Amino acid sequence: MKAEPHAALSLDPLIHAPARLAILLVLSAVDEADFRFLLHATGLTKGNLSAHLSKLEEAGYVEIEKTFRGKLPLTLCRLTAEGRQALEQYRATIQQVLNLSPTSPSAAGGDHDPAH
Amino acid sequence: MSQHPLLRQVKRYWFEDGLAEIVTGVGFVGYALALWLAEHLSGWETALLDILVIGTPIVLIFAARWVVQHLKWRITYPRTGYVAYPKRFRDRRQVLRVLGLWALFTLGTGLAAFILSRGSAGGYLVTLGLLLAVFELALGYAQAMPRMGLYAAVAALAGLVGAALPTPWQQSEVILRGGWHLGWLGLAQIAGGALALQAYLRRHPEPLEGDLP
Repeated sequence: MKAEPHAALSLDPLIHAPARLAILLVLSAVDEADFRFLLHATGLTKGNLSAHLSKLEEAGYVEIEKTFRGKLPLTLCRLTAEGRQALEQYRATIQQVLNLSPTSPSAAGGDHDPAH
Repeated sequence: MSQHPLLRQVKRYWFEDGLAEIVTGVGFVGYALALWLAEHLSGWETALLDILVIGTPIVLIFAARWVVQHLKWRITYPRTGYVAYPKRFRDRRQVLRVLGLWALFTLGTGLAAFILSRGSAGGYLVTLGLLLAVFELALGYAQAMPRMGLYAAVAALAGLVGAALPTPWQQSEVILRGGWHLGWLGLAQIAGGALALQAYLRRHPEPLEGDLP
């Protein structure tokens, strides 16, 4: 009989990276934000943020629009419907993984004293 | 419920530069001054006072955000970036709901202050100050903004000082219609906002052209 894959294996690897998760979390709380705000909020470097945004854009999770406001260049980033759904799915899966994980010896089914 | 620090930071960003407090503070002081002027004008005072009491909150709710946003485009966004929060007024029903809640809050606060003080002008002023303080504390908690605690203290103090004023002053329209409390609250917000703005500008100097992404 083939075993069911563990819930942890179905975590979206694109979202699982801390930097990309931080970007998606910030974008999930706003309508849109520019590149500078994401730098400020996540603490990533310009190169790092740019690389992670490109990956998220390629996956269709984030929409990027380059524009100007007066003389100020603006790189606007928005979470797409697909990105929002992927983040929700990630949240549900990680919750499931954490619920299945033993947090104490009794939760793991063992009530023995680990010192003995 | 606890919130992820990243999301709390995003929420607090609107208040980080102090501009929102300065703008609403100016609105509150303007309201108090307008009440004072209206009381000292002859003939039109009653109509003008009513228009002010109904009109100012509406103007504050809808115009303050626009003014703050406009200032942020000049001061904040070039330094620490632009963010658009989910719109509060997506349709007419939401606008009506906000106006209804505002009217309910204003009437409820006034009525509660009147009932709890059992008709005494001094008691009314103290109770109104305490109710405003509770409102400020709740707002500060919801927006993760500890500075609101200071404004709550000012509102409560305004009520206590108001109760010590001579009786004819206590019965003036400016004081009875909340101008006394909101005037002091506005001044505190302008001062708190200015300090926050000063600290923000010190932390984030204007970026050079090459720094822009």
